[in-house]
Amino acid sequence: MLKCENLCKSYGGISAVSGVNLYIKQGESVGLIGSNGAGKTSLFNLLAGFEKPDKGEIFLIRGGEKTKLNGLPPHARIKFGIGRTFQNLRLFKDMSVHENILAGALGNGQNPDCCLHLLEELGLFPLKDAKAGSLPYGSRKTVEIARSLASGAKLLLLDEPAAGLSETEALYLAGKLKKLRQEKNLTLLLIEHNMDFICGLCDRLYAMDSGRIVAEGRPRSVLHSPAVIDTVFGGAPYVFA
Amino acid sequence: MKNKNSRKAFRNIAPVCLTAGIAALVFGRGAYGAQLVCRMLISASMAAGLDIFAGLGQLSLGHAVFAAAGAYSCALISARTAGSSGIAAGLAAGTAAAVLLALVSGFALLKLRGDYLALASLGLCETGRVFMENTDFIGGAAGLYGIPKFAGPLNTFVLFCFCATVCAVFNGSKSGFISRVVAQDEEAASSIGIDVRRVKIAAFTLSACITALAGGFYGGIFGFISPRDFGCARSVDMLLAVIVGGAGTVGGPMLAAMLTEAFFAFFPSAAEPRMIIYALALIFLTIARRRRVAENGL
Ligand SMILES: Nc1ncnc2c1ncn2[C@@H]1O[C@H](COP(=O)(O)OP(=O)(O)OP(=O)(O)O)[C@@H](O)[C@H]1O
Ligand SMILES: [Mg+2]
Repeated sequence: MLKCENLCKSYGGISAVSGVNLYIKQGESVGLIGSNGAGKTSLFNLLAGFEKPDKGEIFLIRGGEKTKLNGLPPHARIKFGIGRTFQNLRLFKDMSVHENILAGALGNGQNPDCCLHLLEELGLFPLKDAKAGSLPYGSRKTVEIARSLASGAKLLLLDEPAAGLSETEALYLAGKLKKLRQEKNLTLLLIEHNMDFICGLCDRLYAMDSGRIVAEGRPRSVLHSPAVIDTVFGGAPYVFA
Repeated sequence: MKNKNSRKAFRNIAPVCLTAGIAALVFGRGAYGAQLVCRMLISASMAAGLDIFAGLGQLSLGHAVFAAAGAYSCALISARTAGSSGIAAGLAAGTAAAVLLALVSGFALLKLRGDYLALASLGLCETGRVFMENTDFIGGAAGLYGIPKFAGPLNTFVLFCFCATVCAVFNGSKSGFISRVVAQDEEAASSIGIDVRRVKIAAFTLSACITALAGGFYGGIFGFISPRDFGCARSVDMLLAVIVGGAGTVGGPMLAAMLTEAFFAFFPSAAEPRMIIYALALIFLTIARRRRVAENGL
């Protein structure tokens, strides 16, 4: 569904993303791990159109048809179904939960009727009239996902969806995402530091360090690869809970 | 949802239209009273125009230019074409000129936001003043005379209600909702498919149109306009009305603009230290809404 080739981006002297090749198949759920500052969010910004790559290409592949996305702004990429959430939550704080989701639908010309359905499905219905800024952290994250879905996202880029959630909240969210993925035939790319969360949800992982992809493959094999143990876990192999 | 929004918008403007009507009836007698009412209602209409743009969470100090575009276009045409058709053509031309000016200047200005935009728009305002003062064709610094004095309490009241209605309809519409979304967070808005730049240019243009229409009437009060009527002070007047009245509420800014005009008419000696009074008002307002200002700007 999405493919990028030799993607590079540097900020001043720091090369945040350098030579990244990545592909995501339709319906797949792919995880992206890496230590702090590895360049994961920077890669998301390139994929969603928030930053322009210095070098490299991004393609959308649908039914054998290849569309180059370079140069398209974010609001044009969501027309192709590429939606995202933000690491540091960017809700319309003074608006109600319902209005946030409605904004998603109206912003991309979707039928506003989908909003109530999404509210129900994500367990947000009782909160629909509450101000988004006043919600507990976990619910705010869910609202952001709902907003992106309302805008018609088919490939959802989730930047640390489980960060700051309690263990039960993370499990609940993982369950919801699994269900949504099946029902709406979603494709997921998610950044996470919570390895249990990501392994329960993803078919495949990429690991990044200093802007480069250092490992790729099935979740367990990636987590046990020497490069990942070295760069992501600081030498000690990851032990599952 | 949509109906709820539009009803709320109308509830915002109904009281202010009523107030304006009563003010027109009470003060609108005699030449001086009529002029005062016209000034109040026209200032309020200009502020309503700016309020549409302020609803995006941005401040413009350049709107005097649009008022000037409206006033000068209308003055030039209505002074040459007799009768109400000349006035109508003048108002239409003024609005069209403002659209053109807003599209061109908005294209450049709206790349900026926040303080940078406010300062750059102040530059637009100054450019406008220098242009007016140095263009003989429109009377230069001496201004333009001989404009038909068509503005009276009745037609400015109609203007007032028209501007208020346009703003209320806009706020209650999908476009108004999208503007409020953009005001909350531009990046998030673009992530859900909103073309932020287009929304901003559209709102800027509509806002310029309304201000220009009101500007067209301004020349019809005294039959005379000069660059001094459309300097930075005019922009500041409008902006303060919007800030004091509550950006994005339509009724608030319109009421604030009317009251300011009336205040300076009844206390003419206060007009001299006007800027001091404004500064004090801003300081008190900032203190009173300290928390809100810290979170959202004024
Ligand atoms: N807009 C920017 N300007 C300058 N430097 C930036 C910018 N965005 C990212 N960087 C730098 O690029 C590098 C990668 O940052 P990025 O946010 O992508 O990391 P990350 O993998 O998402 O980390 P985390 O797990 O902490 O979220 C960092 O060194 C960061 O300081
Ligand atoms: Mg990050």
